Amino acid sequence: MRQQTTTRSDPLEDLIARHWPARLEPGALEARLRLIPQQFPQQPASPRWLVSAVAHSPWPWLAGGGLAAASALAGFAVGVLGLLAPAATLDWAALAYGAL
Amino acid sequence: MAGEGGDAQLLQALACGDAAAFSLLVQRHAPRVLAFARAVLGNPTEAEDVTQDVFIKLWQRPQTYDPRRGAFTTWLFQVTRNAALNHRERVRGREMPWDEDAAEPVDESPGPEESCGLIEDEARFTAAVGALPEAQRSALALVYSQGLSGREAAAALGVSAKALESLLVRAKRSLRAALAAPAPERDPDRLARGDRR
Repeated sequence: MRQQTTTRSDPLEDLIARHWPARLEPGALEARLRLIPQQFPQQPASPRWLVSAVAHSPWPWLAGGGLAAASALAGFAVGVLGLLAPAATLDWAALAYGAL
Repeated sequence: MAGEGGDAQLLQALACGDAAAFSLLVQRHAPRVLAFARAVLGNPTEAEDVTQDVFIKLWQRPQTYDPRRGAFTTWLFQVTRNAALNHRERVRGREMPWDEDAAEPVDESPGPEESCGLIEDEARFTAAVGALPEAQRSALALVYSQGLSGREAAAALGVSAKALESLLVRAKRSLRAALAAPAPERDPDRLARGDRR
């Protein structure tokens, strides 16, 4: 255990430094630590630009909203077509709407 | 800690999976991580486990450290403290929250009577700091043992500089009171056995 030799103005601070040395030699632990690269696979770095883009940009949310709006519009259009079209077309329109 | 500049290069190499860079970082920083974990937990075995957890995290996810948010050592102490708190949370209920008897005597070679006094002194100090809230103990260790500046210690603890100052003042006041109180009577049976568990 290495002792800190700095003398402080406050005896209490000196006492703390004496009882809690700044460094403790790891001894056998150091060998265990050096084995970590062999024992644990390194995890791939997450693509920060992508995470950041999703977290801080409005575009992903706008794109999602746009997709939902387009889908609703398509459903409405097929419904209107179904009302206005002749009977033969109506069957196809109903089928298409059902597929959606 | 030696060479933040050198650390930056080692961290870059580490991000590319360089095991030699990792070994150098272990050599540089493990003694201080271990010492800080020991101060926070008060238990040498748990401190070793926490040190290992910290370096596993460093190896597996070196990109977690963001140089724009402060020095590497500050981040390392922050990770160490979090790992210590998580460890304590995991073992809570099956072990004592603070192992007062795990304290080692100061590494000197005094005579028998002096040695007895040192052990008692160590035990009193350990009991006094063990009674402090964890944040106060960590603040004391970072500032007076690790020698961090107020700003660095506050960053490592995730508090403002003012809050850190308050933690230190309260911790020192409690410690002074505990150490000034008369020493509890020794257990003669235990002393006769020389039993420190």
